Amino acid sequence: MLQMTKNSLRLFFRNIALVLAFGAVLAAPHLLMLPRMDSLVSLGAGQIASYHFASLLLQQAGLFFLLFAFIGYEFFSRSKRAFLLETVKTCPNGHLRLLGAQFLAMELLLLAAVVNVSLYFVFGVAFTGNTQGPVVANLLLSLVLYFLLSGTVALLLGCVLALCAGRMAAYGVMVLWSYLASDLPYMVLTSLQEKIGPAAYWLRDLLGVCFAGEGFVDPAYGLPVEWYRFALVFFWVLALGAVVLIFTRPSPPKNRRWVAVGMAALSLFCLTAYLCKQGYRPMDSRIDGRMVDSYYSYADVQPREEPAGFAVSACEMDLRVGDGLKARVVLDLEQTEGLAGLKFTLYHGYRLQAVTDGAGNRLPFEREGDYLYVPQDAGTPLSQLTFSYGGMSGEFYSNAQGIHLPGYFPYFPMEGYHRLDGGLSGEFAPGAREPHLTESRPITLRLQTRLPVFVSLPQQPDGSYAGLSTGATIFGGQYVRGPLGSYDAVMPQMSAYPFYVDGFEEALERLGGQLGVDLSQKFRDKPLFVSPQGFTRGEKSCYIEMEDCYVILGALAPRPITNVIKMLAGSNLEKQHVAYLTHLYLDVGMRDDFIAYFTGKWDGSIPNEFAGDLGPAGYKEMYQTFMDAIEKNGEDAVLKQVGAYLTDDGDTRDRYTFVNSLME
Amino acid sequence: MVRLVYLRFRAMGKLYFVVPLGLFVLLPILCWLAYQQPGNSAYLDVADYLEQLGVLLCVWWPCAALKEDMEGDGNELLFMYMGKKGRRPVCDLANIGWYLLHFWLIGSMLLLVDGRYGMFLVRTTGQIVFIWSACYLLIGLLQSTAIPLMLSVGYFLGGHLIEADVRGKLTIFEPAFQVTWQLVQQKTTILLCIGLVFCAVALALMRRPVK
Amino acid sequence: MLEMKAVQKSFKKKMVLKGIDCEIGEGVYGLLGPNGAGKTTLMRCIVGLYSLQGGQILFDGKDVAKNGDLLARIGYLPQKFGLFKELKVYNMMEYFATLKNIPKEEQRPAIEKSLEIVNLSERMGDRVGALSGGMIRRLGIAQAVLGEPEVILFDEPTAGLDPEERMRFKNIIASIKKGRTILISTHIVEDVEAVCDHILVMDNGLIVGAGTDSQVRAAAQGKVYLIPEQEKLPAGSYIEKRLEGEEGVLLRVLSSAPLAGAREAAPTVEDGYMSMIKRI
Repeated sequence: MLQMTKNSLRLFFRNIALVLAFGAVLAAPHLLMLPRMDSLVSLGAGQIASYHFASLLLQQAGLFFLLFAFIGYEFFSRSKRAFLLETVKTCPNGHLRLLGAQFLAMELLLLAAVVNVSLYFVFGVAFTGNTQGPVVANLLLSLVLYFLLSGTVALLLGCVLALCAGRMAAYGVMVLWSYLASDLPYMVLTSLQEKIGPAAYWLRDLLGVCFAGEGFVDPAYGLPVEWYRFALVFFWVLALGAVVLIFTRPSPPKNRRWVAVGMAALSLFCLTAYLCKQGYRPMDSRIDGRMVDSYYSYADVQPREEPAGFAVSACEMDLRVGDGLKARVVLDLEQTEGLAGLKFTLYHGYRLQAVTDGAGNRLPFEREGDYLYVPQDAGTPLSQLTFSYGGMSGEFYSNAQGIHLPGYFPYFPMEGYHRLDGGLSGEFAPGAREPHLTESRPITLRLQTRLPVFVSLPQQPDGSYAGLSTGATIFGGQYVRGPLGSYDAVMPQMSAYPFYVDGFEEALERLGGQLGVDLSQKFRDKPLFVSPQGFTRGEKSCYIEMEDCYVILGALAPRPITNVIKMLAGSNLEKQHVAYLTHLYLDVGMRDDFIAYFTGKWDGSIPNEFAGDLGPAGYKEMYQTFMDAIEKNGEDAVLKQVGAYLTDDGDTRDRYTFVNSLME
Repeated sequence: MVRLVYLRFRAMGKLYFVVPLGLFVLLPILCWLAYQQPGNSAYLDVADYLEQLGVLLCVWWPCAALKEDMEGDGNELLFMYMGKKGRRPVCDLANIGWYLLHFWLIGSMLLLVDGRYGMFLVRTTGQIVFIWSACYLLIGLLQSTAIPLMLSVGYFLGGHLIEADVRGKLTIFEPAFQVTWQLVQQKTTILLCIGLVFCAVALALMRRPVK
Repeated sequence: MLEMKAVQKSFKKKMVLKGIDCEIGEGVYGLLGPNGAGKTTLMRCIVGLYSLQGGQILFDGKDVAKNGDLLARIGYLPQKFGLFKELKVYNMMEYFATLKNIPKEEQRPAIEKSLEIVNLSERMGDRVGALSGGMIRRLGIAQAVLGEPEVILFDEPTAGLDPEERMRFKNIIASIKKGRTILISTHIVEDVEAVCDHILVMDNGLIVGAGTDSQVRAAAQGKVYLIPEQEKLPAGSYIEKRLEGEEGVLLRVLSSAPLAGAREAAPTVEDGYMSMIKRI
């Protein structure tokens, strides 16, 4: 076998076309990376994540797959054309040994190519000094999954096509597979899924052995190496291997047939495991085949904002994080008398299995998108409800690789109906990224996960977490706790940019002075839970204040300091609009344009950021009134009134009334 | 000569129809899908589809047409009749000409929808000529169709998988929103010139004796 | 008339044709030689696939290398033939007819005639890929004779064919040879004997013998012996065959010197060929 493998390698290197192809495989990573190394390295080790180099190459895993599929096809089909297979047919297990030796030779070349790619992985680790075990393990697994294993699938595909298909048909299959398994059909599939639903993604998901996802939503998650990706790869390895076994002879012997059947059965098992995974990859931002962002545009469910009419006095959560989230939440309820039913909000990505009362009786419920309604008998008001559910929720992920469950996100049933349709870009509209509940309640959380976790509630001696909050914030995976500037923070081990930029505290103090609000204790009174999710630059940070922590999306930096203003508005929608307006006025990137537009010195159409409030008064009137008030009474006076309005819980004026009052 | 060109396309058999199916069926469907989306980005999406499909499909016909010339049993005959009688330049270049005709046929319909597509059509024409001629050159160099197809499609795939902000600097591709007339003029001219050089070298290489 | 004058061809440092001189006129010529003699290389040089390092190949006095239009008068069947397997037989022939510059209106009759010669008229509508190996070879012959070329070259035309197909090939040659020059390259002596008027023996890049079959036979006159196996053979003799018969095992041997204990045998074309190859 060793001799045959050596001969196969000799055969390979005697063919100029194959040598050129292999040269292209070796050269490709360097052609992609070397022109960019200067700009990456110049950022400095502190400003770049160790996985960054790897992630750039991961985008090109589809190219690696294509090249090895062609190399495999060309190499194996030459054997077929040279009648080698017919020649060895009479030898004992001739076909198997020949193909096996050739496949081994190809695998050796694949290994060499993977080592070539890994140079950049190693460089990333060495350059950043990020040598923690989980980080290195994550990189190693991604190298194995997206290059070694997917390259093996590519070689097997090439072999199967060489044995079974015509030349042009083989070319078509390889090109189509590589195209579908890459990021290129993203736009098409996004449009298609809105017409035909989850089926749009089936083929791509099945073929996507080399596809990491449509983007890295959260660098704290690391490179995606969930177990079901391995299941998919092994499905293809076993299935294609079975085909090769069967097709190496017109009538294979019995024992070979049994082996092939066994491999096929195993492959089906792997496929079933893959299909039965609890949730979608967070990187695809999809739940049940629907894009998270487009769900609200195309779902039939109208967004609602309705008060509960009852209160939750205590919350007990048992969460198990494995493939996805499995949860059992017990809510103690008050003031439920006289209500026809109880309204809750639970993110639509979770499948609700059962709702039971305090005695354990199953209760009927109605679920429409994020909104859950539990009817109750007039004569027997409910005092306790237990919810059993599970699943995953896109960017608010919870699986064996990471957990991102901020306390403002309804990963547990929240009383009342709350709008969750404001996306990440929704600066001011109600959405998934803001606190919806106002009343704290005692929460007890029992969490089962293999990941290191950080929870906003204090940990108890028995390992559970308990405290007063509107919702527990849970971050798990590649996080550390430590000082961030002069703040106590839980933050990712890896990031593409620093989470703290000098000048933040001075900017905070300055803002407090402008608004007449004492901001000195902001970010000091509670721990910070820092996530880089969705943002790559400090300018787009978002700060959300909870009872027990702050959730920082982005960085603490001077430029987006005006985002702090939104924090002052809390969950009051009217005040959020005023906060956003003030942010537009004060933000250094938009201030000049805002002033120019609303003082009549602007050329061109209205910038999108100023479109803002589309209520009956229209944006222009409210924003214009604000600017007029500043011109009339001075910026200092107006801003102080804004600060007082935002921080006074007793001030319940709507936004128009307040802004109009600024003119007085 | 016209008949020979026609027969060379017919000799592809059913494989010929991959390109018309892609350009006249798949591309219009994608354009329709793009225009169904909310917002004003449909024309940029369509421009990206033009680039993707236009470039990806252009390497199909040369590989299908030259498959027998390079790898067929008895390809000496084809070399003998094609190479020595000066027919090869006409037959092979008719391949890219006919493809561009197909491309511009669908492109002219897009122009009727929105005149801004002209810029993208010109840009993609330059990219098509470059990729086609690179594939043709590799076929002439390696006397094979598999690896040239692999390298051409590999360049296409690798180029499109690079992040949008650096794609234009490192490859011949760029996202639609970065395209301007000035860029198109510069890049297309360069690509057409390189394409011509590749074609000339390829034609010289095609005259080499077969193995 | 096809003339080869001091034809030389080398690949890198290896000289494959070392100076071929011969004239081929009307009739069927067999180019006989062992593997590696240079037969296929010579054929390819004649049709202009290779350029020569020395010498000339003239067709009716004109240099083939400099007059590409002469190729229209030459038909060629390469060693392997199996092009356009997806096309129908008629379409494939139409392609070659166009390549051979046969006017469009004359193509159909020419194709039908060629296919009739090789007995494939009924398979005109079938895909080339659906034909058997022998039929595909016949199709190759059909494209070679398409357009009534004056010179037809066949490179190993019967290799791998069954006896029926080989017989069919011989009949085809017999039917088309009138007024033509046909050159058949092969290493199967029986085919040459049955079909060819003239034989050219080639070895190691040179023509080592030429003549009719009786002339080739005569080259081995007095050199062919049958000798019992146990007898000692002198150096320089060559064992052609081992024969088992009533007298026991006999060896058919070529020897330039008489052999003791052996009886002389009447030479065959194969004996003449072997004596030329082995320089006995």
